Amino acid sequence: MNIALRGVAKTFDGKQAPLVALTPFTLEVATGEFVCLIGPSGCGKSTLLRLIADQMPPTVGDIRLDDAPPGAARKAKHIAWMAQNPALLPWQTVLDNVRLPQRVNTAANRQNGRHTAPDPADLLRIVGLADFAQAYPGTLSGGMQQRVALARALATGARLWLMDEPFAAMDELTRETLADEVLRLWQTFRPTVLWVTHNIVEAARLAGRVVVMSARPGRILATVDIAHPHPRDETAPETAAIIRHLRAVLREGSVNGLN
Amino acid sequence: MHNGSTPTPKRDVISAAGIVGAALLAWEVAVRVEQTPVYILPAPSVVAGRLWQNAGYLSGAALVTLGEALGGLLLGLVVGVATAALITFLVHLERGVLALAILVKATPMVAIAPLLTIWLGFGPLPKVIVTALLTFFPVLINVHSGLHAVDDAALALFHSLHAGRWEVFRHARWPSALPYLFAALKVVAPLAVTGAVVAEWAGASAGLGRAMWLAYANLNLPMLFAAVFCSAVMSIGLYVLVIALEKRVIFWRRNVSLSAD
Repeated sequence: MNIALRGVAKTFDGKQAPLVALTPFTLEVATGEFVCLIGPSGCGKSTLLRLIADQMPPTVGDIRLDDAPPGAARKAKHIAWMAQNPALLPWQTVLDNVRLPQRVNTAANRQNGRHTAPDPADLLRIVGLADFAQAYPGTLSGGMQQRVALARALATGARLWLMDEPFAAMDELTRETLADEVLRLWQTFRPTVLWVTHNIVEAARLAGRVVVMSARPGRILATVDIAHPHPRDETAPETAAIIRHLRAVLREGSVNGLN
Repeated sequence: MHNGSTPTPKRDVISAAGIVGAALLAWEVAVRVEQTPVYILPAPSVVAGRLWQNAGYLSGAALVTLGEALGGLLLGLVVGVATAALITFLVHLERGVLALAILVKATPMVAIAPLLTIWLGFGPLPKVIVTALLTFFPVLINVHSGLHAVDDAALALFHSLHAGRWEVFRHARWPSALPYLFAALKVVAPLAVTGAVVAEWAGASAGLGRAMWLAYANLNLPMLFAAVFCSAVMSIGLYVLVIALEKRVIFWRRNVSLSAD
């Protein structure tokens, strides 16, 4: 699924003055691309993701997912949403949680046909939780819960993955393991991925393109293409150079923002 | 939950029995030492004797009251849950319905009970209605809170799947309301017996309330106390039943606390 944002901006009604979260924003993402959005807190990167997920409308501008408004993609269950909070249902087993996307909005299932959505039991095997299918989420560790949430996102069979700092609450090691897992899954299913993070190293390890955003009001500071293949070691010279570059762009942006 | 001083259930029961036993003993001793007349305050042993002699009469009366209490509890529960669900689906009704519910809540039962007896007679129906009115409000308010206590992140997930309102209700809102429902039931279930007894005082052809009223009219205080004892036992029984039911229904809470240990 390709994404086209043209002049998209978002202003919230603040208590005293309107709050500009995003200034007119233009971005194109091709089908199967892995794009990281990076920037300081409050730069509107999550807002941007929510706009694309059809969780709220933009104040101005036009969002197109495969040449259709985002609402159409959402209604057809073409969007997999994943955030920092795994938001599992504690009263349903792990397997039932993963099956949830296929059990609700069944009208979309009929439209999409049978082949598009992967088997939930297979997905649990892929994320390494086959033995926990009948367990309840409350008995799992935070990292395992996030893995269930990942399997649940994949169960939509969606071709667009919108991920809002999915592993930000995890410790460094878990985060890396889970990110590598997502990378492997991306290579298998080849969806379009939009990944919001404030972690420079994570962006440099995962993305084919990094969009660097400035602090409020959010705008694009730079886009950095990363061509070298996965898996990437952040200490390898070419990845280290990217990390240095991203850091410099972010620092420059914050200095300009202060002036 | 983490400290080691959490009493075991067995120890809990022993200490509770000890405290109640000590209180009864003090009462017995005080009445005997002071030689309090039985029409002022009967000793526990006298009450126990009366209870034993009239076991058939009292258990018959208790069954009537229990039936009224359970009937009212069920009615209040169903109406309370249905109303909470209704104003969750039809949000614009929320304010009006809650205002009406508070009005019902604010009316003293002592005033309503005789009215209901005048309108509906001496049978069980007015008692069921009084108990239902007592049950309805806490159930409505708590279930309403519970239905709205769903995590924003979970709602965002359902939204991303374009799930219908009924699907959100079934998978997320209703289960998240269950702990709130049980919190209300723990308050209301023991109260239901009291509600039925109070309604019986306003005029009844059977039940513990009538037994109390008759005993009171004849200054038969041992019988009055025996009836009070029966109603207390039923209240405690209902409370224990609700707790046992809660443990079965809300099993995921146990899982959470297990992993935290």
